[in-house]
Amino acid sequence: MRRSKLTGGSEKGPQTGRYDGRFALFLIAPAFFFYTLFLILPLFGTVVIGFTDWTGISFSTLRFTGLENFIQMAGDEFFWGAFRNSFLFVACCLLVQVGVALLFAIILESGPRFAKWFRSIFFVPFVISLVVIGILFNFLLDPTIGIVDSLLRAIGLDGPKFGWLGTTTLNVFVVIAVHIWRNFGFTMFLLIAGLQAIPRELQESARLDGATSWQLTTRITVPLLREVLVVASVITSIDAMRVFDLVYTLTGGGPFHSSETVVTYIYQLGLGGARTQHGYATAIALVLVLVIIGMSVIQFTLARAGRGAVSS
Amino acid sequence: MVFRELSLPVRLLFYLFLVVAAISILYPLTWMSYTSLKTNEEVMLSPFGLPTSISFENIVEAWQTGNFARLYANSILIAVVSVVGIISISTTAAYGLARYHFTANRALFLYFLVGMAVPTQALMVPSFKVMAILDSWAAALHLPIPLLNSPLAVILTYMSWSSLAIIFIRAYFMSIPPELEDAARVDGARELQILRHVMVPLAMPAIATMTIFYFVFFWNDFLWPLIYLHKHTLRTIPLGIMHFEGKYVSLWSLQVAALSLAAWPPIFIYIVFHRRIQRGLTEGALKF
Repeated sequence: MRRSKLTGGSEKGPQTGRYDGRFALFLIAPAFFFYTLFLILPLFGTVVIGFTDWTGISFSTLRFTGLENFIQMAGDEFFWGAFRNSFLFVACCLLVQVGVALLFAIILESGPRFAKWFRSIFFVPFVISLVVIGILFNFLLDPTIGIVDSLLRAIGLDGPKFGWLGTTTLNVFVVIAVHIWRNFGFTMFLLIAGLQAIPRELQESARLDGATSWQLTTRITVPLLREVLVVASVITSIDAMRVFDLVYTLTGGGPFHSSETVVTYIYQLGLGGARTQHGYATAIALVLVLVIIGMSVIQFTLARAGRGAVSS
Repeated sequence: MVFRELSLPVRLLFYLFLVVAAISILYPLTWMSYTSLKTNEEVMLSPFGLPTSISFENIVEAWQTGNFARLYANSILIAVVSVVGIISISTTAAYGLARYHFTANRALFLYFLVGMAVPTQALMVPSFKVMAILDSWAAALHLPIPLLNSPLAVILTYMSWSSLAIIFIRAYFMSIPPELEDAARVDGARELQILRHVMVPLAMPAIATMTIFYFVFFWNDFLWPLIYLHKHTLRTIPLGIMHFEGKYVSLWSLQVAALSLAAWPPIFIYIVFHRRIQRGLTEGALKF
């Protein structure tokens, strides 16, 4: 169903219309121009520059170094740390963000009071800039004036001495928590859209057959939701894999690179630091592109395999 | 599942979940709002208490020292030009792909599909290089179009993210029955007139969805302005907020006031248009 929506009901292209190819190219040309120059060319550049140690913009300094960047990567503990953090991000978001979103979507769609209000409130953080959210949480998590530590003190506990973001172990989880706080409402909306597409009759007839609420949810609603659930999971994991703004504003990747994620590391190596390593940063970006595409392919394939098993 | 048929403890538990989640979202935003109405001493004395008297001192000072008029002007310029640009070029391209038979149609569609799989953040270094090279060429040719340290760099980058809009609007165009265009053509309308006066109004739901989707992302984007805009006069709101924090470390109330100035206009727009915004962002993403 989704596939046919994506291509407008046809894999082949237009079923009606005209044959004036030159006019069509004239219509497509502007989008083609910007897309090619500023997206496809950099994408192509990623593949090429990743195998060089190019730092400037003059082509005369472009020198191919083979697999050197990738060998450097293998021995770079910060690279592994950044990838470990990013995967941690993905895993936590898939479990918690999608889980919470699914729970709330099902609860809200069952028709409690004020459902519309709750829905709209959960979505609010999604329209606010991540920089604003990052700085706001810097205040809320501050060890002296932050509400979190004050509440803990009120029940006789102590937060970490230099604040939650000042630790080298918990800080990643704190950033993940803020990310989930901001995004779960959006994921919930995706799932609500999926729930609303499920025909009411199916649930009604199962209910008449005496199914309990729990059975209805686990045996009918969730299986029927799987397509949207997969799309939501893919979006969630891609978002988590390329997180930048929150890490930059909450911890800056520190202390001591402990909360660095792949994109902050690429930025720091390629554009942020004083000594830029364009080639090396781009090689890491190439790995990131492949990981993200691989992750999506795996999830869609698993979903398709699962669907085959269910229907056969 | 029907909520009122659940047992009372379960219902109470679910309400508890909902209320706790709602408070976790509303409290930080409320704290931010009322703290920006307090004086700095009051913030130090009782960081969580409600203000004893309302003072707009910090809001006004944050607006001036943070140069918010400039930040807003820059953000509006970049977001509006980029959205108008990308929606225009994507709508025409979508129409060309949806309604014209020519050899390269399918190949072009697949070509635009590539952009859906690419995480744009990963392209930052080569994108910067492309922009820097074009900038040096423009300078060598004495063209008065600086690309580095100019909003143009950000706008051009944004305008390359057309894949989603093209695919989304193309699908909508294809669902419109062709008889309407044929009728207009019989009446002697030219191709571009048909697009403008027949197809665009009909595809308005899809175009509006994409407009909202892109506007929210461009408005909140931080990475690309961070990469390209190094002059403080060019900063967008996220960049300005970031630097504001660095500059006034000890003046908490002033910093929180700056956050409010950045957060409230989008929240207000969301309150007014929440249904459209929710739909726009959800539908846009589900097309993925």
